Amino acid sequence: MNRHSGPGKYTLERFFAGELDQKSSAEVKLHLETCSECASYVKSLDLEKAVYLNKHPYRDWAAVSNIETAEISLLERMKSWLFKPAFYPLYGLALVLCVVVPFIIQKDDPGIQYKGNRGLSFVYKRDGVLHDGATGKLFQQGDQIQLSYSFPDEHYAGLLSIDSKGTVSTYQPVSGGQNLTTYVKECDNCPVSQSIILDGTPGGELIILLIARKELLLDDIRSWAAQVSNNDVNLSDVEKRVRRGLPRDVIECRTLLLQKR
Amino acid sequence: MKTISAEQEKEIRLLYERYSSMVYRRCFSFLKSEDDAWDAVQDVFMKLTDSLNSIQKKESIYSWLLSVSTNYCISKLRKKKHVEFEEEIHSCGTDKKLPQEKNMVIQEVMQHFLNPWDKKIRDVVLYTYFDGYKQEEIAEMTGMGESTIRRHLTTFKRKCSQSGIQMEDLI
Repeated sequence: MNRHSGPGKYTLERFFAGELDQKSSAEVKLHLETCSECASYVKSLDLEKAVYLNKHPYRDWAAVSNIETAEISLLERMKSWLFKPAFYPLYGLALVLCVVVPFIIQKDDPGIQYKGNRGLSFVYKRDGVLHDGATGKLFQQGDQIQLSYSFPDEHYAGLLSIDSKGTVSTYQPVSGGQNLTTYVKECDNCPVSQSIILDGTPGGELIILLIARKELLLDDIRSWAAQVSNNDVNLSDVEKRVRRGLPRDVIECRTLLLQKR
Repeated sequence: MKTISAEQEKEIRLLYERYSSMVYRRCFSFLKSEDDAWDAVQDVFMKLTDSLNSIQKKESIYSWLLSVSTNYCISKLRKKKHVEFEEEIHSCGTDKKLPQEKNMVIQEVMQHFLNPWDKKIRDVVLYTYFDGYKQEEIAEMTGMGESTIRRHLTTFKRKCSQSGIQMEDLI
């Protein structure tokens, strides 16, 4: 068989051991159909294998070679089972469910919708009692909202709100002045100088804190707010427009969308 | 006593059942004794158990077993100073005869290469004349180029010629 053009002895032995790849194995199989010499050699290997394993089965080899199979403890068996790579995506999902989802649930209180930048927190006073804004429910007329925020550099901060009827309310530092904003050097969770008392307009109240590098004029902001509000009752859409088109000199805008009874 | 995990045991059992008869056949051809061949199988598969993790996946287990079994048998023969070869070379209990000239070549190989001054030449000669493998197969299993294999065989023939054996008549 070694002198013909077909597979050699070594290839036939590897074929017999199942070592050849699919293509080579198929070629050998095809060859065996036509070459009795090679077919006979493979058959002799098969016969020898049967005779040999009958005489020297694996258990004999293991016995004379002093091979012992370790008893694996339940803990180790569990470990090897749990650390299978197939479970990794499941663990990833569990991590998301355990860590990320509770975080989102905690922040997205049903009565308060945070949108965009989360750098705006608040407390509210109802019937003389102060409540944490994160745990609020639906808000009502008379609730007093006190915002606080952080910003690392000096800036000007201005506060306004838009209700479901499109009414724009501004909160000036000096009543009757021309400016909307107050100068702030820097702040770390400091309160906004004005608070908001909710009126009886049903629906929602979009509260906007503008952080600017310059003073913002009241008239400019009012006209900008009227433009973005456009008497739209859907405050989520208004909020999107606020974010898309910030007034000039505004560095950042933080919003809070509250639902009112 | 060597302790292996259940997973290793499963793998070794599979390899033993797949290859042990061929290892036995080869070792028997070298050592001419069933008991010695069985000892060889035990030793070779113990080595396999120890080396299983270090054998690269791309490497053929069979070529690894051939190499280790060759080393074992040569070493065994050297220790026993048993270099005589009988006329008949048995094949796992059958009376399959190898040609006379091949037997002589093997004898020559053993005389010249029993001291492994060049293991590569020894392996090439044994795979060629003892096992009857093709040069391309030897190239595949050893990683040598076919030209290197031819060069080793030429070296061997030259040595045979110097010893008074006419290789041209034998091959």
